[in-house]
Amino acid sequence: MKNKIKFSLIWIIVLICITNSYVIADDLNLPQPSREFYVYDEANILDETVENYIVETNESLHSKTGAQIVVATVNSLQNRSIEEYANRLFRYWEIGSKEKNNGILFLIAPTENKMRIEIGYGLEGAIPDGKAGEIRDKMIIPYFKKGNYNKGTLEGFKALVKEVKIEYNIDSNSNEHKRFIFEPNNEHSPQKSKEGIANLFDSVKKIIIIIGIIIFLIIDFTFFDGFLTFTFIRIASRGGFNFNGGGNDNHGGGGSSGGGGASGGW
Amino acid sequence: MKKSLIAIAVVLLLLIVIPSVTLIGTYNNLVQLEENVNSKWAQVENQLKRRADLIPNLVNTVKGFANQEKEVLIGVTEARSKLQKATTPKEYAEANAQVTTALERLNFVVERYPELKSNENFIRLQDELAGTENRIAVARRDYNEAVKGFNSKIRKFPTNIIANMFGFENKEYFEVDQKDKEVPEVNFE
Repeated sequence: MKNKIKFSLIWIIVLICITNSYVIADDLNLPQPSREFYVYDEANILDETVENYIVETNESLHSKTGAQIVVATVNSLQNRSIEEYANRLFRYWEIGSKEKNNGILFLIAPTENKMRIEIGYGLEGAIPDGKAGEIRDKMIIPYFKKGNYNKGTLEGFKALVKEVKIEYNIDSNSNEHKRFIFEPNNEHSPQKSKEGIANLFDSVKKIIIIIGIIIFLIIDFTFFDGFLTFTFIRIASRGGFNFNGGGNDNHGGGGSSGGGGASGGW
Repeated sequence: MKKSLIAIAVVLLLLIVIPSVTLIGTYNNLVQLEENVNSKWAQVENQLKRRADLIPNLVNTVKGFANQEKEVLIGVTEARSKLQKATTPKEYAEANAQVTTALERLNFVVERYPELKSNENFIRLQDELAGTENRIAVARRDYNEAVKGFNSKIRKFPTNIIANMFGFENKEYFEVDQKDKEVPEVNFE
């Protein structure tokens, strides 16, 4: 009998923790990134060759610099300005690395005839707003006006890649010769193992906490008929606990942006 | 006998441990939230400063093409100096709104000067200004969210007791009063 009560109480606590970690800010529904991460073509305006090019270029760029340039098309901005939508999406997908914030989001909303290049904090120096505006005016909008989304997206993407490569001193013609400072994975593998250790600590911590809770419950129910547990549940249900839910495997490197870049319509 | 002794010890321990842990935890949490508000505010200030820095450049460019629009240009410069003198979030917000109005007027006037409108330097400056405006919007959203989190935390029971004890006070939102928001009528006749 007592065992049953203990079990159900543990379940109640677990449930409270889970529901608390899924608080969603407001009514804006941001899409999950695609499986390849670098291209998300919800509006279905891009050819497969363009998509493949973007993914492949990004993979090579990411291994050398940690930078990520994501192209996304959406069917609706859900009545938000493209600036707000782009910024929210950028932060939700965490484009670019966490340390360098070197991500770029190239967002296209063909329904609203709007586009935006949102630059992560770390690349604002390489691509100031004026530069982003120039790419928009010269490489993207002229094609979009004619309805040629593939060409505009590709040219805009190439121009952004070029700027990022300049920033990191990568010669775009010698991709294959790894004679530059940025050896693939050089700076990322140690970090990954660090993350691994941190994750391990995290899970050990969680286990200890769970064991602690169980011991506490046993003591509490043996001596106080669960008075303390009920009190805690009451506190917790007011929003005292905040367990972080599991990590997302398919998001970016943890980068953020603060509204830099340029947007326009056609 | 033994059992009841353990029980008493546990009760005493819990009576001491739980309140002090709660107190320390809450205090640290409040400090963290306050720091968060401060750092978000620094972002807002940065972007406002950036906006103010871009204005002289813009004014000079416009002057080269449309020097006769003195009144509008003076309006922009005056709004800018107010922005530089602001100290509290509310003052900043009001001054920033004035800069926005002044720049809107300027853009309205610029429509009459096709040469200026197609000037490369002017276009880039407009992009920089638009980018800065957008950054202000983002920084402002982040700041106001941080303030909201902090303010509601220190008003809730039982945190409010601890907040009172250590003198945590409500933070000011970055926003303009509704009555100030009404944009004055623009008349160019």
